[in-house]
Amino acid sequence: MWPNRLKKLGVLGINKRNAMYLLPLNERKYYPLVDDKLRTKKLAVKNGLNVPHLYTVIRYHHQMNEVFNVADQYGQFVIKPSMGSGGEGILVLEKQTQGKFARADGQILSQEDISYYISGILAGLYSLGGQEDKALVEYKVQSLDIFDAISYQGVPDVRIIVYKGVPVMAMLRLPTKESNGKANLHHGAIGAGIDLHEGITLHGVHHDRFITHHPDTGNCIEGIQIPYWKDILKISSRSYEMTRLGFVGVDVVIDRMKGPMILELNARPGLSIQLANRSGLSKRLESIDSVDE
Amino acid sequence: MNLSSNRNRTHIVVAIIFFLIFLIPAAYKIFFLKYPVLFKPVENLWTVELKIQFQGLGEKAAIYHFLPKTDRGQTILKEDFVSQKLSFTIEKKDANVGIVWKGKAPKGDIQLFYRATVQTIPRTFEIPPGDAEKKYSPYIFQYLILDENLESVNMELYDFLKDLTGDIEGKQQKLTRIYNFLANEVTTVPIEKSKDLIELLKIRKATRSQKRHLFINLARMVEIPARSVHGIFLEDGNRSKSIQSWAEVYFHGKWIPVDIENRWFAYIPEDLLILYHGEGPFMTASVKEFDYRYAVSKEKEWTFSQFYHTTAQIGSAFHEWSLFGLSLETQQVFRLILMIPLGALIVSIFRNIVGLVTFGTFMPVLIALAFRSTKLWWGLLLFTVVVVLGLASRWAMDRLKLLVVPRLSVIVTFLVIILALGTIIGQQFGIYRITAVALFPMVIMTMTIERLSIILMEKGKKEAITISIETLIVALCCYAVMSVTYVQDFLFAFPEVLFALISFQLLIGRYTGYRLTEYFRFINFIKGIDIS
Repeated sequence: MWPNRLKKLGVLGINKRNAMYLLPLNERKYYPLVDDKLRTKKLAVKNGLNVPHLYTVIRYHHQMNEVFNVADQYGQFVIKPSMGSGGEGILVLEKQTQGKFARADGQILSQEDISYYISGILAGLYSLGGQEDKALVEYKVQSLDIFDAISYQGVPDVRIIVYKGVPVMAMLRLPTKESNGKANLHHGAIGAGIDLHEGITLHGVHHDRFITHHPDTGNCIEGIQIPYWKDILKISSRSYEMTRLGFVGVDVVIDRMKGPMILELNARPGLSIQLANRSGLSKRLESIDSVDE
Repeated sequence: MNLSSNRNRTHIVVAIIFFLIFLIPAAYKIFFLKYPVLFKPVENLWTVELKIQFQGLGEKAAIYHFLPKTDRGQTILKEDFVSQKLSFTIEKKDANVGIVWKGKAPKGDIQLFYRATVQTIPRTFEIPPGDAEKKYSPYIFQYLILDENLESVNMELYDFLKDLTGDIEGKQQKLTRIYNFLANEVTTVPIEKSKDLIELLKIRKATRSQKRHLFINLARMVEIPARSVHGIFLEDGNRSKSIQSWAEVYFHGKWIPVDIENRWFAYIPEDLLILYHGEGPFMTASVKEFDYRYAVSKEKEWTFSQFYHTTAQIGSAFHEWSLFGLSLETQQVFRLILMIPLGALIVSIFRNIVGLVTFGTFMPVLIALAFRSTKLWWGLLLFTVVVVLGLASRWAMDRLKLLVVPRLSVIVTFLVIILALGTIIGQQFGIYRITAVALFPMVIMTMTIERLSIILMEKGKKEAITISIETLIVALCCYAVMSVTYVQDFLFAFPEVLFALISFQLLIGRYTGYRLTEYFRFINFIKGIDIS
């Protein structure tokens, strides 16, 4: 029967995730550590972990010009709301000539456009509940060549579910045309399950449906060896001591020059990762618990 | 940490305790105080609504009419009087109860409403043998006095009566003779020019009311007190202004109905509601043009509120100190408030067991409440307008680049403009429902806008529309349950149900099974496509 099948496969449902893992293992007081990307970044740096370098933080309108100083200095950069969620409000820019800036999709923005955009972030346009926010200006991660064939614009990242400091499941998140370069599954990005031991991609999932090829590039997304895999696992497992959240989703990006770095943490990780891996989380979580006891 | 905390069963114990807190007083009420649990099918329960309309001239106006009263054969369970402009006083006079509506009537249409819940019981009349009393109280004596205009032709009428009943003894027999004569020998005609009773007897033709008049006067002449009675037929869907009139005669301390036309003698049908006794019109007014109409509808079941009115003498402190002890107005408020926890439970079920996503946690309950005051279709329209405005604002924001708070303010302002326009249009076309779109639903819709815009930003258009639809589904389910009169009555009579709701919430709160929607989300697992 249907219900039994999900249970036998050990698929974790939302209710069980909330009641048995989030509520007892993720104390609310630690949530701000991951909900505010600036705090996460500082925390990671303090713990000796690699993160995309923070050029500057814009808290007030009068600091706006700092973003153009960054542009002059580095050429490429990313602007993101500190308390945004689900990949909303991230702007990837490259300085062109005569005070113009190009977005990843080729759209050209003026300095004025960028100032307007940042004031939107400050007013809380992208933060939960519309509270006032900060704009982070940071290093633009350089995607690896091996990912070019299986992603459309944007930078793929690795999402790892870490339970009590142990990585239990992972997937590679690949941006698509539909997701607008974002690596978030609900925006239409692809999730590809990863063999935890080898770091090789398995099957793909797109909008909760199984796929094997990238819909935009047409290339196979299975069987790809993710570089720095052991390092990625190590980094992600550090999240537990860092944040004391027992059930957390760690997003890691791999930079061409600087290797893997922590992008952000999520205290309420989604459950589609199970579809990407065609495997239930419950069994893996329970096996960790049995070792624990 | 280990799994023992997850196997914790305390919540079940607490849930059982809460359930008992519900069960014990409820059982006491049902078994000892005999509260009805189910609707009792009921016969002869009616709602009668009288609507009076007149044109106000900006001057003082007064309207008098009779009210039905609790009597042998009819019980008035509940009465409501509604007038926005006039005040009213209730007066008792002789056998009748009347009401005077008065006050300064502003120019324009004025409407007055009287609503009553009535139960009728079959009436039986027995006339004991033997002659009626010789002496009457002054009150009864007035019903022996002949019509003033009859005095002059008195003798002729006495002669006629002598011919008719001279050969028999006994008032009762004489009355039967009169009844039979009028019923069998005099033809009923719709209109008769002649007003003279003697003339009518000679031509043996009379209208219904003339026959009643003849009967009353002839009865009085054989020294039986007699008078007219007026009432209406209780027929489901009866909307009319026609008042039935018949006669009644006084025998052995009791009034016995007689209707010559319908051949009722010591009998009236049980579906007749008596309004008043005596002569004169049902309604009199100081204004020239007025109109009235009554509407009758049959009630098929007892509700708890009706139960309360019939068993006010239940006499238990438990009952006196219940919600039934509150004033009617406060009762109405509480009927609504008690629905909120029930709606919350429905939302819990939909969110945690079914797996639908809604704006905020309790927005669906609030939207359902808004639907209650706007009526469903206007509520749906309003909700759609709000969602469309929300989506439009997203579009506008992309173009105009507005910040959150000013953007929301613009939407709320647009909503107010639409409401104002709708209300003006409603007023012009006489659709008063729109004008009911008042402040309360406004606040709720504003909150909906805020929620919607947050979802729009966090999850995008497609998701926002999905969530809007799911919110609407849950809100409609809440509305469907919350607007059932039985549910309202039940919670009102048994507010301890709230404790049972808590115990259900506790159980749902620890439900860790799959949500129904997850079966669809993980459909590929279920189908078993090459699972490794």
